[in-house]
Amino acid sequence: MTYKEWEKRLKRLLTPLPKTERISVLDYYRELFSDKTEAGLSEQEITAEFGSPEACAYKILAENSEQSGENPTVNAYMPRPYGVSVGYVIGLFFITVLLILPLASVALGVIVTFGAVSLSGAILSVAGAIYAIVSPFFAGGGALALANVGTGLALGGVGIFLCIGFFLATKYTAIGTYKALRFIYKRR
Amino acid sequence: MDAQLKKGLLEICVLKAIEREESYGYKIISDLAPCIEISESTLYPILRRLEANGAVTTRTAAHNGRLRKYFRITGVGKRKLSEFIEGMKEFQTISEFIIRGIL
Repeated sequence: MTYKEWEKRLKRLLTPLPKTERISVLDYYRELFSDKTEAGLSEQEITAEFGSPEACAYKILAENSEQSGENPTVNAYMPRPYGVSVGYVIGLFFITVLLILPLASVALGVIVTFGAVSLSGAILSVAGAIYAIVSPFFAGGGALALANVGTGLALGGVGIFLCIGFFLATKYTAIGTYKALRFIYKRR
Repeated sequence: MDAQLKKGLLEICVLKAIEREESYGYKIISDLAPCIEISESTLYPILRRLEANGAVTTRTAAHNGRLRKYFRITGVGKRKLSEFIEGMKEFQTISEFIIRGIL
């Protein structure tokens, strides 16, 4: 694995951390990477020594939740019955309830709405086209059939337009939820 | 070794590694390597904790066209280190008893 790939994965895993803390972690690993490169190690050797980004992120996130939740001076020497603190588990629960579930609902809503509107547009287009072909054989239906083709295409366009709107709505809902979550955590 | 015991010891080892002169991440790991194994992801939280407790201060300086973070021990850190060394004397007596059974 190249260092860029390793760092990219770590960065994504550290999303729960505040931005300044995340930058600090990435700076730390970048400095170590440069020092190890100067010492003659290859990129592959360095990323292998660092271990998986998942393991690194787990250690840092667990430590971060311990430090923000309890007195750090006591914390360093006190034995802990479990590897993961209670605060960490509660945090994960809230992240699931407040962030992941609403996001999943919004995403599902967007997909269903986009699908329904686009499908109705497509059906109308096809139906209009068939009607346009078939209607000349009957008395005076050509104009109405062409109008139906137009309506179908317009609805298809509305579907795409709505998709952009829902994409933006999803994005800002996600950002809003994340900020609210951060605010709750800082108050805790 | 017990994980919690090792965690506490590592913090003291890091303080010892920067006691004489300021040091940086890679050098701390290399200096401690002959004595105790410490991974990069273990060192980071220790340094952050020591900094948060006021046991170390940091400065960033240029090195070979890039930045490197240096850690320096403070009065609080030195006190922590000497307190640990004092505590070790008591610990030695206890460990003697655990190993031999009599004092």
